[in-house]
Amino acid sequence: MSWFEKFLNKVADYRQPLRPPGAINEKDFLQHCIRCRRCVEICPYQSIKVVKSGLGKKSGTPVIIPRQVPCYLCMKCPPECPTDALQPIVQKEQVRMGVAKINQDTCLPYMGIICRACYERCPIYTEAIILKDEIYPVVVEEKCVGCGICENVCPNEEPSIVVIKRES
Amino acid sequence: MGLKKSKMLSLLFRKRRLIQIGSLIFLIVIPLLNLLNLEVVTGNYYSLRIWKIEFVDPLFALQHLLLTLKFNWQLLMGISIPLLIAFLGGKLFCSFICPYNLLAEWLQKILPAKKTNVFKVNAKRYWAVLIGWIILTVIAGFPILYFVSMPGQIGVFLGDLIFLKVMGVESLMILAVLGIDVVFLKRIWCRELCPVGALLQRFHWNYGLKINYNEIDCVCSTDEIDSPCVQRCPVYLNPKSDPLYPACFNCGECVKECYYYGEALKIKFIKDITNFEPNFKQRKEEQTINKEEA
Repeated sequence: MSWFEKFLNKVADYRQPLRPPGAINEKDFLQHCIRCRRCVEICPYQSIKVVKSGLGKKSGTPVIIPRQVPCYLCMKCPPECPTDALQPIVQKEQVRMGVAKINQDTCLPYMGIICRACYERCPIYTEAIILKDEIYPVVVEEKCVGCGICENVCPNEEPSIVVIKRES
Repeated sequence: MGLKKSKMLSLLFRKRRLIQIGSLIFLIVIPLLNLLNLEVVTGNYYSLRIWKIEFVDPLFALQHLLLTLKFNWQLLMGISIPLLIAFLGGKLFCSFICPYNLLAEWLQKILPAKKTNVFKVNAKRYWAVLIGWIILTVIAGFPILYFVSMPGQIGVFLGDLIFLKVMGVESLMILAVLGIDVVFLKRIWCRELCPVGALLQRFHWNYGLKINYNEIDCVCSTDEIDSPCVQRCPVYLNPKSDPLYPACFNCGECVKECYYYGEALKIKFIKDITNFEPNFKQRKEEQTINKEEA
């Protein structure tokens, strides 16, 4: 079935695009963003990519694809935005880009293999991802900023922890 | 003082092509600098930051205002310099900065079009097209003029190519508009359709920088189409008998040409607009009288 899922993912991009830190909700974001790429060009890690969907509504908007490069929360992009599509926030704890979800069916610790990749790399260390019984990683949704570093470092081929855009 | 100002102006217009090429190179340099993590300058002609000075395309500030109904101070600061230039000099952005115009002018040299059948610019139609674009934005619900703003589109094409090494289908808009416009429609894009230039022209001051035609000095006025100034105009206007504005973007090419033929055309700040318009009308009247006599 996996080829079919991959095909579906390509066609319908079922996941909402993850916007840079400070982004307002998706509907307003598409109206506020003038597609100028200043957030893309200021990013020192090239985390922010550009949606290339032809003449579509989302074309030219910034997006973060954690599996390629996650957001390292340097907070350079929010003040760079000329409009208020990215709210000028300074502290990384305030970011609410998305929220990480763990797939317990494939996550290694839940299958009996010790792995602390996401726990140890989480920038909101020991707060956003905690270890239940010192073994099982659990996401604290109130603290999670959605930077995608956990998704990036997950050793599984299909990441067992993925960042879903927050709906607000 | 007056002499100094006119000398500065003539130097500016003589170095126009150099400034245009510089502006295109600037668009290539920005992503290269950003690749090296130098943050002195970011953006393109949608929105640009040089050190701490912000520039925003007024068209995008307007779209932002219409779509969000919110004033944004950063955007207002950003449009102040472009609007000041537009107020004094009209569409100087088009003739000096816009990379699309540079490409179109080069393409024109390769594929010169015939002078005939260029329909004259009508001011009412010109503003109607701009209003049409703005209505389109409101209907679309997102800044849709992103796709037809050629200076920005060329900027993001170069930026994405150099910085992210990706290309998008929307960049084909540049080729499509450039090809159709220059080859078949004789620069109608810059003359009438482009929303970026139209909005800038809206802010052009009546007493601002304008091409001024003085019929007494004109030594080749008998010949309408073959006049050097008419031949030279990149957007196929006739500086001798058409009302130039709002279509003219003050590139000064006709003035440079006329320098060798009696200096009837001058680009300067207009002191008296009552003297400005009737030049054309008077000429038209004389033409009709001459025709009747013949």
